[in-house]
Amino acid sequence: MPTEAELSLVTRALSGDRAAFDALVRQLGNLTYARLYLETGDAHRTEDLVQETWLRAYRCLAQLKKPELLRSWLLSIVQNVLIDEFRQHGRKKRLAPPQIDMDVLLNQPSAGLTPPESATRAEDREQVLDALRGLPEEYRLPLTLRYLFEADAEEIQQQLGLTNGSLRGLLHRGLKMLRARLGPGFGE
Amino acid sequence: MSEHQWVQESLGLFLAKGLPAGDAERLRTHLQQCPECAQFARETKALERRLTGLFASQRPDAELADTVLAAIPQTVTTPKPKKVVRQRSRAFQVASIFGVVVLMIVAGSVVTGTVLDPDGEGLNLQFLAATRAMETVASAELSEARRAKRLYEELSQSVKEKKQTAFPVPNRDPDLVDFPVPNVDPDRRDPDWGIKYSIDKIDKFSVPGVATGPNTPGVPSLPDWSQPFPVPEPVAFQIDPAPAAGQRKLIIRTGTLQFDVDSYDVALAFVEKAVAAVKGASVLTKGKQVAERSTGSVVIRVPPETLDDLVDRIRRELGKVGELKSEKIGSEDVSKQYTDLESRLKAARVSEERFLKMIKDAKGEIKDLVEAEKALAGVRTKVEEIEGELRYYANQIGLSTLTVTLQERDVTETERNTLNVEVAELDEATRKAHDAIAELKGRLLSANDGKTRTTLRFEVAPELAGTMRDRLKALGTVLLLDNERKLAGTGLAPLGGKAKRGDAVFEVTLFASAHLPAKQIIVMRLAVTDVVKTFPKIRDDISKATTILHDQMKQADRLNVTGELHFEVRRAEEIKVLQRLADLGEELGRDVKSSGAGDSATDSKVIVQLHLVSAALIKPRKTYVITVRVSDVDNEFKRIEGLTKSAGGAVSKEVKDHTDAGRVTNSATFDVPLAQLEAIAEEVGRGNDVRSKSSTQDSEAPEGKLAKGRLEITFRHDDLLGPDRSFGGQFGAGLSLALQGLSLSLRWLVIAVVFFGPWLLLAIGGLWLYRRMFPTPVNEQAGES
Repeated sequence: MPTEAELSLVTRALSGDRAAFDALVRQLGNLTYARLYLETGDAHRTEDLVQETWLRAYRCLAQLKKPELLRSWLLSIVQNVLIDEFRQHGRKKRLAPPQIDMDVLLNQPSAGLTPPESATRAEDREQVLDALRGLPEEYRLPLTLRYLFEADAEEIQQQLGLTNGSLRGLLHRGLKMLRARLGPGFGE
Repeated sequence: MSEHQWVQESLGLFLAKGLPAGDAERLRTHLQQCPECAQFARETKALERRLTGLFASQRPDAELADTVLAAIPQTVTTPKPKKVVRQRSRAFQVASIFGVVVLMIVAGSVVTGTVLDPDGEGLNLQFLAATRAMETVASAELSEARRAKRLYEELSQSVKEKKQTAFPVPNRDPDLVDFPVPNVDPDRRDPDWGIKYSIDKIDKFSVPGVATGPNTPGVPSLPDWSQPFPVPEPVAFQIDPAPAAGQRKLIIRTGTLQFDVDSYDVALAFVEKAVAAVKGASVLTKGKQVAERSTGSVVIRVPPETLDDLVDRIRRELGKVGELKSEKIGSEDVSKQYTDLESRLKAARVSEERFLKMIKDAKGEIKDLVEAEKALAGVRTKVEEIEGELRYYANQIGLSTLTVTLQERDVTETERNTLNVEVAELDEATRKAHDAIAELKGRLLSANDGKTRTTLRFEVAPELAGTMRDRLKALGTVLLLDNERKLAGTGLAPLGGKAKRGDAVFEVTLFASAHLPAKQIIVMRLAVTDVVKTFPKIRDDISKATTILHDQMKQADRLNVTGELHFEVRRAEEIKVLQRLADLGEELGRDVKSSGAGDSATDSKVIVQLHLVSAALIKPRKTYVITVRVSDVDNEFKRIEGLTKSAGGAVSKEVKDHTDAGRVTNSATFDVPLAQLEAIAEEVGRGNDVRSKSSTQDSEAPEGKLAKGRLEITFRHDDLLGPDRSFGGQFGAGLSLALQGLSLSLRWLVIAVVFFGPWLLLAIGGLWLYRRMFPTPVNEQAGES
């Protein structure tokens, strides 16, 4: 359930308050990014799609009838954006081998990573993402947020609108399943 | 839950810094104590760090939100989804317009009410005012109606009173209460009620114009005219106190009655009896004219108040012996004449007295006296004249005059007999009829002798009419006897049958039997095997016993021969002759109808119209339609033909058909005697392939000895003589093969679908269910370790 402050933001945005909408974008931007990245596995495309998602959200804001359903509404928009994206570019994006990210290559010399190392990382990432995609739905986003953004519990709860103590179980069982999927030797 | 388990489950949240401070302390403590859990924690932390490291480069730019927001147009209001202008239906539009108009009207009325009447009750007040105005109008109308009703009641009351004045019913007597029409509206009352009433209750009322006082019954006393004339006191004639004094009603009532009676004398006796019963009435004169029909009249004087009673009595009495023809009761107002005469009398008296005084005093000269004497004589004459007239009036007023005229009626009854007699010998019968007329002293009016009939018209005395009828009946067969009695003369049907009987008139027609048309025609239809031979035979045969009127034979073709034979036959021989005819062939029908000749037709003979038709035209009683497949069409046909011929039948039709391909069919129709039909039909089926067989029965067709049966047989030879090489045949064969293949494959398809379809569906459904129930088969055991 969203918090009171968030609900008032949504109500204001619905009544045409642009500032409130902006606040919503800043607040939930990471959630949409995480969701999109989970599916695409590509930071640049994800950024584009985040933009597309919020543009659509802004356009059809009036269709959000119940403010408390903000997240499911937003995620359904994300889903539509993804469907359109995959439809447009065929199935290659999801199945395409991870491209070598030149930016990362160029911008992270300090990490001392050589190109083959980077390629290995991309492969590992893809492996992790695959494992994440295979998890039951409710475990995917908490874990994605946790590792993509290194988010702490508070951040995850805020992004997902979780108010009860369910995060403990989600993290524990999710990690357990993820570990099982990645295999015993992954952490080393 | 063990501490280890708790620590392991909480580790994820702990690493995410989400564990409450107390719990975190507890966990840390446990990790320090438990190396196993510490190891697990280290591994987990390492995995998380590795994962976090993997994705570190994939995090979005910090400016992502700004970029996103920059791309969203800076509009102040939230763009609403484009409103779709829906096309409303025409009915909706019209309804909307109507609704708007009604709304406007309501709004207008509200505004008017509130603006013109700020205290807000304007509408109600206006409405109330309108209602009150309407009520006022209504009540005004109501009172108007009430007034009109009262006026009408007053008027009808006054009319009622007037009626009571006009009829001598001045007031209601207590013993009149049971009078039959007390409650009826005066205007609807039986118009005669007053008369009846006055007649029944006459004694109770005074009669206007005559009574000396309003309630004085009986005859008024007449003034004594020998005395100096007393001027009647005005009050003496006053019947109604309402009219002003001096107004008198002097009325003369007279009546006339006319009766048709059987006998004058009897009727007179009844009249006298009625007169005797009425007080004060007397017969003044009675006269009789003696003739075949006596007539006479009786003049009765009666006090006016009992006139109606008398009229009623006479009507009642004479109703028994006669009939009222006319009745007239009249009254004449002579008040004016009477008053004039009185004035003149008074003046004459005055001058008479003056002259008398002049003579008594004997003043003046003789000449004057003589003159006075002369004048006195003139005045006296005048006085007497006036007195005489007054006396006459008084007499007439005092007693009404009723004249009853009696007339005997004259009715003659004449009898008229019309007789049509059929006789064998006309001349002899005519002679006998003449003899009878002479014998019974009849008077012959006209006679018309003819060759075929004699018409006689004569009269005989009424008492001999019966005898005459019997004599005439004996002459022969009576075709018509019409006896009509007619009354002629004045008056209506005689009472007690006392009518004179006039001579009976006879109109007799004697018909010669031979020349009379027959009454009945028998139409007989007869079927014979051979008309050509039978017809002359019948003609010769019956010409001996009967009269042939018409004979004709028509031969349209060999089979279609008809004969037409009309003849007359005596009733006695009718059955015999018809039976003989019926034996010659098959009787198809017999109609008996009227010849339409009417009364002058005889029943002693009948006309027979015989229609002869050929037996070949008889419709088959039963028909078999058979189709057989045979190996040899011609042979089989010949076999059946032979059977038919030997049974006495014939082939009536044969159609033989050879097709190109050598197929042979023969459709033939065999007519056989009905008796042989079943046997032959059985024979057709023997040894052959009967493909179809049906039979129809015609119940209208005759069933006798000439009855027919019919066989319509189609012989078929299906086998082709050689292979069919025509294009049609080849094409047909190819198409047939293709269609057979299609049909076979279709059959397989259907079998396959029906056999395997359900199992296939079941398998797919099971698989789908399985996938749903176990979406990701995760190895839980592996994670535990």
